Parts: sequence; C-alpha cells; structure tokens
Amino acid sequence: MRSATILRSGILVAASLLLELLCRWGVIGRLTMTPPSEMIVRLATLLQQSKYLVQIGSTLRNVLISALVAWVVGFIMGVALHGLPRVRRALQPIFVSYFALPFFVLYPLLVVLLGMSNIPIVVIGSLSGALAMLINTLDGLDRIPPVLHKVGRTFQLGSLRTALLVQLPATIPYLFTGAKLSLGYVVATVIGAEFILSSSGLGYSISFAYNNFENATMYALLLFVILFVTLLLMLLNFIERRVRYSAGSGMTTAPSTMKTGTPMQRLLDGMVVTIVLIGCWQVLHLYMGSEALSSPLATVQRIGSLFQSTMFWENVRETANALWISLAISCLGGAVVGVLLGSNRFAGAVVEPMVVMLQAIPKVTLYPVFLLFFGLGLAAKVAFGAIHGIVPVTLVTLNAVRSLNPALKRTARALHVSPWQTVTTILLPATIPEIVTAVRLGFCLTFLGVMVGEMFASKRGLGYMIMNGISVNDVPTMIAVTVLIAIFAIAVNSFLLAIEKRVYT
Amino acid sequence: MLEGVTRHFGAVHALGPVDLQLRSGEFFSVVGPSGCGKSTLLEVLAGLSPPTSGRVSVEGKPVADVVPKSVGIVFQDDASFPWLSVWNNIAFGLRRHGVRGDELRQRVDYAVDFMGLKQFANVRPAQLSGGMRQRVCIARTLVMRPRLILLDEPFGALDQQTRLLMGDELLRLWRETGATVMLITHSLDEAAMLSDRIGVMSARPGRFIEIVETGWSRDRDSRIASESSFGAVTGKLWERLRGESLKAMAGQSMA
Repeated sequence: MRSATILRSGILVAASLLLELLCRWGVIGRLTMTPPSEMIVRLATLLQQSKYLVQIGSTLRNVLISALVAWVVGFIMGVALHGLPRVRRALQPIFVSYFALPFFVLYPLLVVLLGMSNIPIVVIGSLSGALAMLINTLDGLDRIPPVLHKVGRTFQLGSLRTALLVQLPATIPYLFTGAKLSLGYVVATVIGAEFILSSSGLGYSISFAYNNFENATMYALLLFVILFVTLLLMLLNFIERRVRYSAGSGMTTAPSTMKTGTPMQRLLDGMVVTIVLIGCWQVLHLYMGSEALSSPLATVQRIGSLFQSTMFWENVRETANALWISLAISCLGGAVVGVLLGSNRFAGAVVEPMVVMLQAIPKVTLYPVFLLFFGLGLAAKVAFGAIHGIVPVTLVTLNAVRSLNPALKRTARALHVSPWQTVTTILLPATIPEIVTAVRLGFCLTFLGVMVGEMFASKRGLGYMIMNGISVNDVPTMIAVTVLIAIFAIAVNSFLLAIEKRVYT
Repeated sequence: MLEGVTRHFGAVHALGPVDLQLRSGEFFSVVGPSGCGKSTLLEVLAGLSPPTSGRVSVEGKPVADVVPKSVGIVFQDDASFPWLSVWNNIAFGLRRHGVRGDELRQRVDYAVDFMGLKQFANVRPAQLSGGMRQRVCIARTLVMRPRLILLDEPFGALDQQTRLLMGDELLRLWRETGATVMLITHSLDEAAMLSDRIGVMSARPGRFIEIVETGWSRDRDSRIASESSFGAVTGKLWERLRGESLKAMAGQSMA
C-alpha cells in the first residue's frame, strides 16, 4: 500500500508539472488557464487582502452553521424515525439515493421565498447535510447487534441506561461517518449556492471573477477551494480511522433488513407523502402569498400552458440532448475505467483515492473552468454532466469487479472457459445488480451536473428557465419547472430502483 | 425450574410444553435438532422472553419480564462491547450495580486472571480472536457471581480444538464457583463430555424426550472422550436424536 501512495503522489506532481508546462508553452491559452505556479502566487497575495478574507469568513460561517444544524436535526430525526418504522418506510425512496437527488434545484426557490441573503444558503446547506446524518444515524441504530440489547437486560439496565451505555456508544462510529459525509455535502452545497446565486462568500467571489474576466483570481480561488476541501477530508478521514473500533467485533452484523411492504402499501405510502407535501405547499402559499410562492393549483395550470409552448419543448430538447450524451459518456467511460481498475489490484489502490477525492470536491465551482475550455454551449454542459456521472459509475463498477467472489473466477478456470467468455458468462451476470446501481447513480448525478451547468451562464435548457424565472420575476414558471424536474428525477430514480430490487432478489 | 412451559410466536408453536427441574450445582446440557426451540427455552428461563403459558421460577421466585440477578447469560453471538477495553467490558455489570473501588478492582482482576486475559486487559475486543472475545463475555458474566449460568452455544463460532479447551475451562469455572450451569449446544460430544445430565429435545415444538445421566466424576475434563463409556453416551444421544433431526430437516425443506 505504501508504494501505491508514493506512486499516487508522483502522478499528482507529474500532472501538475505537465499542466504548468502546457500553460507555459501556450498549448493551453492564457485566457483558458493560468499556470499552477501563478495560481499559488496569486492565492498568496489574495489571502492578504481583507476583501477576500471577509468572503472566506462568510463562507466558513455559513458552513459551520449549516453543519451544526444538519448534525443536530439529522441525528434527532434519525432517532425519531428509527422508532417510527411506518413513517420511515414511506420516506425510504428519498433515503436510498438522497445524495443523488438534485436538491440543489430547490435553491433558487429558497432564494425567492427567503430573499437573497445567507439564510437560503444555510437552509439548503443544512438540508443537504441533514439527510446524510439522518441516514447514518439510522444505519448505526440498525446495526446494533440484537445480542447487545439482551446483554443490557441481563444486567437489569433500564431503557435510558441502555440508550446511553449501549446504543449510543455502539452507534458512535456511524454518527461520526454521518457527520463527516454531512460536512462534505454542506461545504459543496454552500459554495455551490453562493456560486449560482448570492451576493457574498467564496462561491460568489469565484463567479464574480469569472464574469469579470479575472481568470487569475478565479483560478487562485478555485485552488483555495480544492486545497481547503482536500485538507478537511484528510483530517476527517484521519479522525474517523481513530474512532472506528469495529473490525470484526460484534458490529459487523448485517443490518436488519427493512420490511418494504407490499406494492399496495408502497403506493399508499407514496400517496400519503405526496398529499402531505402538497398540503404543506398550500399552507406555505397561503402564508407567503402568490407573489413569493404560487399555489399547487396555479402551478399545475402553468405546467399545462408550458406543455403547449414550443419554447418550453425547445428547452426540454436542449436539456435532454445534454443529458443523454453525458449519461452515455459516464456509463461507458465509468464501466471501462471501473473494470480496468477493479481487475488490477495495484492500479485500483493507486487511483481509487483520487476518484473518491474527485467525488468530494464541490464541482459546481469548477464549472467556469469547463466553460473556458469548452466554450459556452452544449459541449461544456456535456463535459460537466459527464464528470459528475463518471465518478460514481467508476466506483461502483470498481467495487463490483473487485469484490467478485474469487470462487466464481476459479470455477471458470476449472471449467476451461476462455477469458472473453469469462467476461460475458461470469463477470457480467454476476455484476448485473451493481451495473443497474451504477446506471441509476450515474443518471442522477449526470442530471444534477447538467442542471447546474444550465443554471450558470446558459441561455437554454430547463436550468436556464429556472434562473430566468428569477431574473424576470416569473415565479410561477420557475416553480413549475422546478416541480417538473423533481418529478422527472424521482420517477426515473424510482423506476431504476424498482429494477434494482428485482435483480438483487 | 420450568413447569408446563410453552412459547408461541404468532401461529408458530416453538416450544413445549416443557417441564424441567435443574438440580442445584449440576451441569446440565440441552441438545436437539436445529430449530427445536433450544434458544427459546433459554430465553424463557432467563426472563428475556415471556412464556405463552406455564410457570418459570428460579430459586423459588417466579421469573417475570426481568432477568433475575442470580442468573448470568453467555450468548452465541459476540456480545463484547467494542468501545470498551477488555477490563472495562468485564467491569460493566459490576459498575451498573454500584460496585466501586477496591472491590471492583479485585473482582475484575480475578475474572481477568481466571479467564487467562491478563495480558489483554487493556486492549479493545477488536484486537482479539473470536475465542478470546467469548472469554471476555464469559468473564463478564462470571464476575457477577451468578448462581445459575446459562450458555447459549457459546462456542458455536469456534474451531474444534478451541472448543475442547474452552470446554475444559468451563468445567473448571463450574467446579470453582459451585454454580448451576445450563449449556445449550448442538454438539453431542460437547454435551456428553461436560455434563452431569443431558436433556434431549424433540423437533419443533421442542420438548424433552429423554434425560440422559452420564455419571461422570466432578473433576473430569475433555480427556474423558477417550473412555469407552463416552462412546456409549454419545451413541445413546444420537440414537434418540436421529429421528428428530430427520423430522427437523424434512420440516425445513418444506418451509
């Protein structure tokens, strides 16, 4: 493993050097990218200007508040839901792929509702982080081996003492993982929200620099974001390894499988959730007024009229085009890279941490780089969507190939199956469940990437319609498009999830 | 002591009716086909699971929904607390009952020593093998000085050699504490080797179809397996169990 770490550092240094040379030689133009060395110099000078320190401080404050809210709310909700299996089952479809649902599209809506300030940023940040905390709390509680409860009873512990002395310590590693993931989402969401639409913060500064052609400043700030997130994650991973005491000691018991209920029950659950959501929406509408939030009924009418306008369908076509091309790139590219890395242990050990890191950095802020490299238009959106999707597809494929039961491969050899036949008759059928998972995650994240791409400096597509709705104060259209996007994402996700369930059993 | 105890889970009749009177200070083992309700019997006796009908009492007092203080239980699954050191794992129960200071230290140190865990006192269970972790759990039970020790296949996850040695230690513990021991096991050899009496259970719903007396002396150990009368005991157990195991297997394949 040591040599993998050394090689990985070597690759990173070599890549930076290559980038430096390409920029210096003019292969990558001055207007596209500044050489890495200049980024560092620039960053050093920026960090001495109070103007930027104030923006960084504002972002850190938003991150800190959002993270605290997310941890507390997520933990409390997790404990509450663990005691309410019915409610939990109804919300399960949201939980299984929370990280892939484009919550981010709700941000413009929050800006309309709450005004342009730090509040919508903290709300969307907390929301994205709270779910990670909630799910890990549930996971930790599920994984407490039943035998530990029995041990508590053999020592005549009451329910409060069992909670404090058995359940809490048993879940702490999971709570920490939840807190770590949660912080990651909060950082990405806060900086992303600042970037898309706000008047302060690090994300805003990057967006401002891009819009004013201050490339040197923009790249220096991007470098800061990447360094900050990388160091933060390294620190958290280090602490996590210290906290984790599991490894074969009781806690490895498989989680108790959730009862999913009959299709009829699930349909009923879905209807109840939908009705509750629409009810909340209606109440909020009555409270805020039509100016800020149009009613569910008005939104349905608006959707109706949108369906009749050619302008809407042009935007749909634009988004669909970008989506399917980037999805194809994500799935094929991710599958190939994943299989290659998965079948070679050393290559996997070298590259996997880099891919994981790529997943963690807030990619929203990197969008200007894509614009500079690919120009305004479809290519930048596709590339941006693909970079979102290719990471999870690679990771899922890699793990599927790596964790393939070695006995299967040995069986293939014992039966004298050719290498190609091994791929088609053993590898593919054995990994079909993971392939479906990969496609689902790939879809969700590619969609998110395309949406973000359209929300920033774009003139076409559904994401553009949302942002345009804000600038021309057309709240009904904005909300109608947001709702359509949400319905589409949930529908495709549920469909792929249903297939996943079938192939796993 | 159990009188006419039964246990139903919904429509499933898991256990009984079972009548059983343990003799004070004996080593009693329960064998039976898989799924016959052995573990249910133990949970009912311990007060972890209420009987659907019948009466359970320990030392003359009825067992309600609470585990009596004189009863110690060792489970099959690893039940050590991964967040506590070996020493603190063993001290857990005593601390909960307000034992502090010198007495706590002496009793825990004794149990640590007795189970051969001295050099591991300060490590966490994750650093121990499965057998060592099960010793931690036994020590954690033993330190409470229970007068009835219930063991639910405590060596189920261990390899054969380790099982034999752990069996010897269990015998030593039983001799030194003078406690009554009830051991649930699926190993006929283990039951025959360790016990004064062995209760043979039928396929589900489990009830005792025979109680076999071994007649071993109190200072026996695993070497007893080489005596000719040992084969006679295991042979007798298997003769009674074979039909029941076949029934249990057929029942499972239909389910």
